Amino acid sequence: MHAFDSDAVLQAQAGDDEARERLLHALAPILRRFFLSRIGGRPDVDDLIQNTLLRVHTGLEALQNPARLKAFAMKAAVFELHDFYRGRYSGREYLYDPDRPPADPGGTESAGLRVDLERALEALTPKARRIIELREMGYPYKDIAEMVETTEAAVKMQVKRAFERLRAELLALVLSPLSLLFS
Amino acid sequence: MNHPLYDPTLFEALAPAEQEALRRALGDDASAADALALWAALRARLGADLRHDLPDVDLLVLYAIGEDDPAALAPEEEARLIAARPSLERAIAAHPALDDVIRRVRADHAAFDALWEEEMPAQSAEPHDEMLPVRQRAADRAPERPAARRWAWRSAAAVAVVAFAAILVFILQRDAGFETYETAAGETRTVTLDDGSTVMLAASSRLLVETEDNGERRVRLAGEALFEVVPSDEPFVVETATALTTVLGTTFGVEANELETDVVLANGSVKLATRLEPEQSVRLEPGQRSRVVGGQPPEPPVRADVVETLAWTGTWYFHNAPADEVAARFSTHYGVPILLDPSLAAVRVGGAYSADRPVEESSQALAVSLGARTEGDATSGFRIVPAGR
Repeated sequence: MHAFDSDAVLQAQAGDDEARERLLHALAPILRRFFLSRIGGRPDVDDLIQNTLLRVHTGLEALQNPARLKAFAMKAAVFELHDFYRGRYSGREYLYDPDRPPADPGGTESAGLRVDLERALEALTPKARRIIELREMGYPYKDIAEMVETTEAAVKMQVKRAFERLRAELLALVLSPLSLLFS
Repeated sequence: MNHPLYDPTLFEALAPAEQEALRRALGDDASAADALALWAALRARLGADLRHDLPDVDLLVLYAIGEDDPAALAPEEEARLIAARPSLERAIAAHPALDDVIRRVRADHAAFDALWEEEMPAQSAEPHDEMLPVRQRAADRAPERPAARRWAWRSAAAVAVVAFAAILVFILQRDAGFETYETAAGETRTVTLDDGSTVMLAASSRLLVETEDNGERRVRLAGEALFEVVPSDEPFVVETATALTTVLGTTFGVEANELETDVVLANGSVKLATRLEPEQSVRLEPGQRSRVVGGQPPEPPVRADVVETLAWTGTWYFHNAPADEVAARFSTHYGVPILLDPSLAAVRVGGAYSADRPVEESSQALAVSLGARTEGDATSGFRIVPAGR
């Protein structure tokens, strides 16, 4: 009996440790190929496999139809993969994300500026907004490039241009009152 | 102004010293500070809007899967989607980025299904030893289940070794029948061998893998690598210029230069022998190191700092270490206090802990290995106390 047969899955669900191990063993090489095909040979592949197996391991009892093991495993793998895409595996990003400077580093209030976020948002191109939203969801630029079907360099250029446009808006806000004083 | 601050995508690559430079620059340049503050506010606003419109990203994943294959959803997932569909569709309409995510999920789904169909006929009903490291790590994260505890126990058979070893470049270059993998300076790379074993190559390293099936598992190395070898009846041999490192199924690392082979063992058992006289060998116990210099016999094994030696892999390999030593390592790495109840401080623990994990997971994994629980959070710090308290 194959580890994925409904009867074998039922045994695993019923507490048969050997059946459970056979099932997890049989899943491992499929997951390895899957993750390697999706993210290449990054060191995270092993962790992705471990965590997917863990999802299967902990959620197996909740699988109502043992014939649906493939869909169950697929969802576990895809959830884990998108956790990876979104940066869950890059813990260092959360220690200090220099993409997020301190809330008021200079800061905006001390300069007396009133940040017009609505105006800044309106100034964003749809493409830049799309990229920043994906970045906010945690996807790294490399993956964003694949998702929007362009190069990483092109994605970063979009971000840089958006930032420059925003900075120009900000300078205009500062200079306008000064020009009124000397007119 | 051409300060690198004005390329926000560069920020993600900043090293700590550069982060400090950024802080200094922000202090000296009000304009830069204003621009970056506005940028941060804009990003935060976009992020907040997204989270408001789509509080549960997993629902989007289910939505994408269900669009292609409704049968893949469990009844409760269908019910969740039905309830959330109107707000999901509003979010998708408002945020074009979500379409990109949906497309990615669909592609992932299709790739999984295709691989499943390819692999299924080849699947064996018998357990595969590739699972050994799986057990170890899964046990770190799923301790509440008896099966997971058993995985941890079995992982005691795994081995971690670092060999500072050597293989002469000309040997590497002249041998036919080997596939070559190389890394450049600053690059790491993981290679999966035919038997499922993996090799993480450190920077500026070179690995040759025998391509002919002659009943042996044998590789050659110049540089540094971490090996995770699946158990088998066939020995796994790492050849270096001065030594042969032989294991029967293990995790181990090798670093090579042209003068010596230095082996450090984190767990399990390994044999180190001179290349020219293999009968001159020593067997290492976990936590020991030995080395072969030139044609000399292996030095008697001595105690090693395995955690430091293998730290380059991004994983800490503890063997029989006092819990307070592990907690101190975590505290330093994460910058978050992780305190142990005094009754737990001297308890010996082992296992592999990824430095990339969030502090919550690492402290939880340590607590689990102690049969304890955590209190606190990543802001105030964690305290690990006996489970019954």
